[in-house]
Amino acid sequence: MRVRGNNSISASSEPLYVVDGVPINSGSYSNIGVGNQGLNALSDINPNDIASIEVLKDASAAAIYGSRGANGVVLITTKRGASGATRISYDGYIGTQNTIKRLDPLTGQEAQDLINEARTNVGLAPRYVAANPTTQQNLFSSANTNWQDEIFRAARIQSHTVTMSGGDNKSRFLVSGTYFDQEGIIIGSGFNRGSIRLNLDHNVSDRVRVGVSLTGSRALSQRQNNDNNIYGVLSTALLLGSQTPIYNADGTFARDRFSSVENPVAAATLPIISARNNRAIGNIYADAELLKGLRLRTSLGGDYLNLKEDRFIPSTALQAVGSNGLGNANSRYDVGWINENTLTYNRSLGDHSFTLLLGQSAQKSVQQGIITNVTGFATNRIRQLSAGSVKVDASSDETLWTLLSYFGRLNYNYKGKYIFQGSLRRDGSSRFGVENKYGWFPAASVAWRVGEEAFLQDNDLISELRLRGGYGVVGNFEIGNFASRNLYGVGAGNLANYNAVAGIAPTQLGVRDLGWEQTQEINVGMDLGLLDSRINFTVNAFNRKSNDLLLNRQLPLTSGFANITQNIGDMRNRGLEFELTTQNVRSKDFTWTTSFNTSIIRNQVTRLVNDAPFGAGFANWVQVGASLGSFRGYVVDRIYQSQEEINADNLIARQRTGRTNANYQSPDTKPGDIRFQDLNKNGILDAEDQKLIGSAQPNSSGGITNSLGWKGLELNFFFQFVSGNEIYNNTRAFGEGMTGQFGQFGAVRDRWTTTNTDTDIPRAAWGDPNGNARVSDRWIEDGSYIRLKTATLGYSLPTKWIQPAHLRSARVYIAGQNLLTFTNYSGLDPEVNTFNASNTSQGTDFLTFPQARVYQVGLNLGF
Amino acid sequence: MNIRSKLYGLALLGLLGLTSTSCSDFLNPEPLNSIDRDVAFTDLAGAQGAVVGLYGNLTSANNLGLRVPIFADLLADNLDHTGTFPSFAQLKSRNPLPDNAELNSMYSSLYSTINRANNIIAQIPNTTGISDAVRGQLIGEAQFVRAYCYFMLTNYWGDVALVLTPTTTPDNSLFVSRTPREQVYNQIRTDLDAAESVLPAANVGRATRWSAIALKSRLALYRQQWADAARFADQVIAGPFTLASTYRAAVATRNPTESIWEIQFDAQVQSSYAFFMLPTANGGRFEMSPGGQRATLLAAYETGDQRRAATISDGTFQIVGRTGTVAQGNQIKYFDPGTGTDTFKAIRLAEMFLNSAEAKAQQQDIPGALVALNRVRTRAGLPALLAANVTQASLLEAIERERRVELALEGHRWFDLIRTGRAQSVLGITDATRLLMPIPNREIVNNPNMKQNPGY
Repeated sequence: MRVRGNNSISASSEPLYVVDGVPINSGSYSNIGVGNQGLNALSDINPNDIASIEVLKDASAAAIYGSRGANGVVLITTKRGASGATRISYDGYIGTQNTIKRLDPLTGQEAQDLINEARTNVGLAPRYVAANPTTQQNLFSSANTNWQDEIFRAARIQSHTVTMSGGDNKSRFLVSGTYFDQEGIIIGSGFNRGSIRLNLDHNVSDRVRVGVSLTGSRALSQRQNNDNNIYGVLSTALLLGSQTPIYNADGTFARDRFSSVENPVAAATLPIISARNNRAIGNIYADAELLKGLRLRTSLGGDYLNLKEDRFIPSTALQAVGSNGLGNANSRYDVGWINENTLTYNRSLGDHSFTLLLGQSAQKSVQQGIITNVTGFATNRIRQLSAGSVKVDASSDETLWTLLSYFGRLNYNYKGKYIFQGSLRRDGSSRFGVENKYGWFPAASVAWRVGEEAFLQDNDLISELRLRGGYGVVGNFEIGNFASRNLYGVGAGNLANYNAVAGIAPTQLGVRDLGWEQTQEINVGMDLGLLDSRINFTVNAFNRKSNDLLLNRQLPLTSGFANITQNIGDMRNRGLEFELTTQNVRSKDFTWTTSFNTSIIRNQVTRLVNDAPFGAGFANWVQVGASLGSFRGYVVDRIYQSQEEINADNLIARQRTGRTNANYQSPDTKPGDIRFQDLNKNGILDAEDQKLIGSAQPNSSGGITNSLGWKGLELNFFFQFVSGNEIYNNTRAFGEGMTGQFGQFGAVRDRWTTTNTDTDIPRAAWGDPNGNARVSDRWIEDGSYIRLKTATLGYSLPTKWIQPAHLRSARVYIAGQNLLTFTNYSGLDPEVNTFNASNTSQGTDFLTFPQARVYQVGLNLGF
Repeated sequence: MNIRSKLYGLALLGLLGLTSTSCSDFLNPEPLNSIDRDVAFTDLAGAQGAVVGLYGNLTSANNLGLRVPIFADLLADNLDHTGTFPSFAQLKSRNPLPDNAELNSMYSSLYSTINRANNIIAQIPNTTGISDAVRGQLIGEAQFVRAYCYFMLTNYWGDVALVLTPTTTPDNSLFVSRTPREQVYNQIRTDLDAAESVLPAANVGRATRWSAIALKSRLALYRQQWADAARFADQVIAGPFTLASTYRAAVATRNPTESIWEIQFDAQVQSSYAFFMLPTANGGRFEMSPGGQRATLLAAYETGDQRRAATISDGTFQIVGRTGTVAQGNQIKYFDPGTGTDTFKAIRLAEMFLNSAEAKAQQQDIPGALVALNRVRTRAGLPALLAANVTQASLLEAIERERRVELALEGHRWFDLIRTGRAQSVLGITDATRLLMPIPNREIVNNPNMKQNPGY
């Protein structure tokens, strides 16, 4: 999730999640690399427990979270009990998930013909022959396996929650329990979670209130190797040719002996990768009115997370053939606590009312991990590490960070018409250099409720009008815990050990003056309600400037370090946000509401160290003047149709360079190869012939929701759209490259041959001597889409039907997710991003796990 | 009332308690997995640890764990690219793009090792509680490793930046420019001379006096300083090493008697040779193989040469403790893809015989050259060459062939063909700019003083 675009280059762009006042740890804690599909610590929160989610977008609102608010703040408040009769409710659904789309692979025969053609095109012997194969050849295979059909499945999903709440005028409670179970759409994968919640509030006296919020959960993920990995499930299903059968005649898994890629069904079913997550998030508070209008609140919150990961790869899987079985048992703990104390003073004097808040908080997070890795197993039947003979790794680690904050806020309003809010926060973080631990984060905002003025009272047209303006500074410290230090590290991972002796090695170059990244934002807005609020319109304009970006910048490799974290670079995000909600029909039996929102954000990197650009991911490029998420590469000119064209280019190359054997592109360029443009016009194709060829930043994005109600029936549907962004489809660079043994997609049927010259797909060429598959605009695609993200059709049963069953309420519904997608994007899913945690390498699709289409049937009962 | 005042008290205690604890302690935790650079070299353990870490960097798959040596076989005609990495394919077709990931990683790893060496050379003189002999040896080891890394850098890239001081701050002093190859060679020689005088005679897996002299021989050979090349080689030949009884024992056992400098690998610090070269059925990823069509190693062996079956599987080779055989045509010098315990013979005695033979042949000492050459040939089960049957030219050709098969997959072939001026004719390279690799493009971008090699 990203709030208002990207606000940092290399520090995290994830917003801060605060659950009942506890800032929680999100992100992945996994130590087992299964590609870029991480676990998400946020998935431990039960959606049914959530009463409200408030997204603080602009800096004047987020400033009270100061230091950590640069990416926005998401406040999650869970449901609490209310006094009165005890209520019990049940919420549940069951459903099924499946793929949205599958790609079109070549048939087995086509795949083998293509490989032979690619090889003979560069002077190599064909790989598949009809008779008398050499040791480097195989007989033609008659197999034709659609690997995607073998690994994808229709998968179950179900969720059941029971909630009980109630209380009297002294105490209120809510307890809930939930069970969630989801199979993955890839065979062998799944996730289930059980969680409980207890929220209590008690009035000690009419001036003192105490309470607790507590949730505990236990989750089990059955994971898969994924993404950029020759042992991944989706990656192998796309990149193993269809000429390989699933099984050999003897029932063992078949492999392509010319390819390092694992059999996808073996990849899905042989390894066992499980992650058990135990999580507790809790908060206790006491709130006392010391004097009239003066309240003291103190709270202590905690977030405890333990992720235990076990992996076993049997010796029958390619990944562990050589090591005779491979196992890991890892455990990672993150224990965080926060203590927050605030004094609030509320006072009204005639038309003036104000609230003053002073506070202080201290926060600490300690992470510990244990990693073990063993190979050489006695048998594939015992998966515990004690069954392995070779101890490859046994290590532990510990790291921590702290944050100390002081803050104040003043709210003032006059007659409810003129509203002012000012706040100031000072944060100190352990992550920064000695001189720059602390940062100041001020904010101020004003609002004028014009609609309350006399001249708009009783106006038939305008029911609400509010003008707003604000300015705020927020910070970002999402960098390594000791990023400012010059460090020597230990262990095989740092290449510090040799010949069974442990050593030390320089691991990090630091800068002492590393300090806070600060984002200044100006926001102006207007809220307008028309015709008794049947039409509500909100507009916001913001200009946010991030200074001293915390940037992992590249160093010259000759320094011995690849990069360093530094405050280098500035960036600007400007945007407009519109929200329009209209009650189209508002009658007794029928209601229809439409809500539309869109945002238009322009992002630009405005300063970098020495203004030197740098690359990231596969094709991304960070450059002053360009937006974050830009792509850079070569530009396709055309396909060479004849040797004469190539000779002509080479002749110019020789004249221009003065080298007798210089070539425009490659000595092995042949008709059917791509001619890339010589952008710098120096006669040869070189590294300088690359330019910006697209950007992952959309021109606009948003959504439209329609809610219709007729008596007890209700229909909701939500379309989401993104427009004007590009995707670098690296999956196609592999699946349409025609450069080797990888399975290829149907698009290559139109490849260049001497009889099919009118095409933009080059010839097949083993080893790609011309670099046809290099990073170029050939793999850039329009990523715009409109998607019917969710739709729900529900029916609330009439009271007279359910009363005999002692039901307070009963509702049944059918719902779906990702039901329709309109896009020109050729990949599995336009919403994917391979490097989902990185700000610099956005918009790349490389063998990434797609989202599923979900259909579900649900029931809500209240007793 | 009672409870309420207790709560007040608790709340106020919380407020005061936290504000009164020392903020500087709370905000200044020390790292628990690392130490500061300033304390790394303060004692003997730190100094010794840093030298272990120096060798540790060499074990990377981007360094002597695979890429640095093996690309000298892949770029030449000893290995074909049989796998799926486009970056390996670019190297095999000898048309790498400047952003080639393999070259980038290799360059990065070599300079990272050099920075570790520079730290040792700069800081250990100030370490206290350490004898002069130990201090000298540790610095000498760093000088040797630095010399080896610069030798590899200049072999692949020609003129390279010569960085001799540790990196301490990320400022514009990092904008180094390239130094002519001859000066790089001079620095290598200076480091090796210094190292030779302080290193011990034996130290398994680490630099010794002998490894320094042996590398001086190879350096002199590359510089066509024939007298030096022969003298240093003969000095090592007269040293404590003996040829292993069989070629297989020389290349496939740990630390045989002819090993002069051997990079040690074990299950915790693994090499990647077998994994990258063995077929998937044996647990490798089959990225490179001498059995492909663009490798001619198999045909380079004379009839009766025992090195052929010791280097390339005839289809019967079996990995100890595993079922199944390694298919015909695949290399078997490295044969532990699962736990990567194959060591790398960086310098061994057979090379010294071949250095001596070549240097002597170049100086018209045909009998002397034949004595050295025939030691290697007869160990491989081949007949000795006779002076009556050779000319200087045919002898040099025979030595080239001998080096190819004796030192196959040990990182020599590409460099040997280039230093003798034979690469273009043997490998059919028309564009001479392809004899040097492109400087990684990110260096050009991140360093205004770094210039690209011609043709890229």
